[in-house]
Amino acid sequence: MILALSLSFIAFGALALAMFGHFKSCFKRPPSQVQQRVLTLVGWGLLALSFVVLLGQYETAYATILLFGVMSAAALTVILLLSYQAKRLPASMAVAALLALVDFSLFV
Amino acid sequence: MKETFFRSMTWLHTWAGLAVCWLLLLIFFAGTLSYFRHEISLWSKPELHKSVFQDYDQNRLAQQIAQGQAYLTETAPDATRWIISFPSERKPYLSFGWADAPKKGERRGKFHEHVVDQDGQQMITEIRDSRGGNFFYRLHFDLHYLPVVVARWIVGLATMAMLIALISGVVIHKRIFKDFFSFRPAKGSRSWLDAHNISSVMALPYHLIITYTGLITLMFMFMPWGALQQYDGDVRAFRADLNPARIQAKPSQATAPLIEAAGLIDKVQQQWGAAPLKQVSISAPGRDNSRISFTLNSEQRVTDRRDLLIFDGVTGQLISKGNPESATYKTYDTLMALHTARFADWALRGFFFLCGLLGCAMVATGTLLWAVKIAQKQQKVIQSGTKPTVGLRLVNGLNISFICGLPLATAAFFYANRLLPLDIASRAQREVDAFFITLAVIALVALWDGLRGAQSWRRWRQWLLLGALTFAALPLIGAVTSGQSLLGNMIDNQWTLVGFDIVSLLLALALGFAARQVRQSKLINLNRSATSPKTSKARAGRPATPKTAAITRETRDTGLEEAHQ
Repeated sequence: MILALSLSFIAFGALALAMFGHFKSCFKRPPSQVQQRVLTLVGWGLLALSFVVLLGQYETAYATILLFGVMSAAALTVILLLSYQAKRLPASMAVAALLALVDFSLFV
Repeated sequence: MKETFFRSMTWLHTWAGLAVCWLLLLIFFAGTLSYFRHEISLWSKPELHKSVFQDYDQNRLAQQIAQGQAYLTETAPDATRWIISFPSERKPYLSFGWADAPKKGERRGKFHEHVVDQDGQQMITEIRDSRGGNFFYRLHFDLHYLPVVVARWIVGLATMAMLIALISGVVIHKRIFKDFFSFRPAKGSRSWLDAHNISSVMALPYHLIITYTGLITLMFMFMPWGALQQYDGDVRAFRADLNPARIQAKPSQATAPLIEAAGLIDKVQQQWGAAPLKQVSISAPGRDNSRISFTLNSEQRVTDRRDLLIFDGVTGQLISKGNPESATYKTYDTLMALHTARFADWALRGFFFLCGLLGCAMVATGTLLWAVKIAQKQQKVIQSGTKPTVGLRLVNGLNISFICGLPLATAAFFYANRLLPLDIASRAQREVDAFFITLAVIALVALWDGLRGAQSWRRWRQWLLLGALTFAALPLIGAVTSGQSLLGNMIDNQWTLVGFDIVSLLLALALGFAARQVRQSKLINLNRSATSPKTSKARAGRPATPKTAAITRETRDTGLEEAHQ
């Protein structure tokens, strides 16, 4: 669960940063084309990965439903961070990555 | 129609939404609380807070069934139905219950439940009469004080309007992907629009599914013609074929001895192995058409069906295995499960709850956005001293009645549950009355404010603060009236009760935060150039402040102040 949540959070963070305006509000400088493309791919990739993680923990129907819940929570967190503490988003994503790694290593 | 498709859809979204939004807020609010109805019910019965909790135990099933049957034979020999409920994750206690024969005009008789103490011997029989979480569950589709069929038709029409509003909303949200992460706080109506968009889009799959499946759950009421055609109008025959497990034949007059239900466990385990059971139900005990049903605990399977094994109560023969298997049935069952979420464990249930809250936010921000838009249009009129139009006053009144009223009414319900004397007549109904009386009081105050043209953000702040205080005090009241404090429950691992207290405190924080925001933020971004003589004088008299926020607040304050006169 923590793994899936962290991955989704990073995924939505990446998808947000792939957008011009949000990248600027976090990093002060505009994103390059390459950066935008990479962030988009990473975002979608991590979303798929978090679904795979859930499929590993729960049976298919349950995991699918759970995925939508996880996505709602993760995307909402990204939006709140972007609106009120934009500069903290990249750092939060790094913390989430750490959490994901810890959770992964503990249960694999 | 309007000039363009887009304008037509905007019109449709607005009016489909406005027609039903306040009722929808009630439905969404009650429905969201219903995700935790068993937990709320447990909280509402402090008699069950100590010494009843036990886990499901496969090895003690036979003994528990035997004990239950003996107890019920002694306590309720004339009941139409006995139910022995085993401990489950959400209802962690063993109970023996029975249903009386229905009185004239009733569909079901009153249900009584006695809970077994942890020691396995004592019975807790004096449990306060309270509907607990089931009040909210029924409220969200049966409403209250109305005949059930009428209420369900109203709710169904509101749901249809919501589905239309959802789809038209998606259609008109052209920038749905570009604005996916956009939220611009403190910018007046733009912020309300952003909030409305976010609360809708973040949980869009949920909103669509919950609305659609909500209609599906009552589909045989809304669109019965296909079925009735097949059955020549015989509704009972249709229902019997649809749901054989639910058919409860009236107890026959002839008596016949009931076999020991515990003796059937072997046959049950032949069919189901060691799968956990939810309950054993004996209908028409002691009569010759008695039935003993074993219900499977479907745990986390995405299903709403009740897997049953029905045995004859006199001979012990297996009569039926419950509901029919078919693709159609499975589809219907899955759709029902998606709505009721009975399969969800605590984590998924929490997500459903979050999405339900987003749904409430969606409806509330929608109506508030509408109120702000109308206020903006009438801004000059208001500032010149006339009262706002009836339309605006009505919308403001309804908004405050429902948005502030529902949380306060819920708090009143919980307070009534703990503070009403235990022996008054129709105690459960009195608790419900407390809910609606609170709503009525807030609505009446809003009406009074509206008639005087004195609606203001101050009233919002007052109600929100009151809500914050009442929810903050609720754990304390709960502790005093039940003898178990929050810390005590944490120590005892009673996480359901801990969860209730924590959510209560979180709600208090949220309401307090909202009250604070009502005071400070730019709720209505009144046109800064449109200043009244009063504001200009005030501005001249005060030292120049660089903060536009302060000036806008003055403008807004004075603008609304003038609405009083």
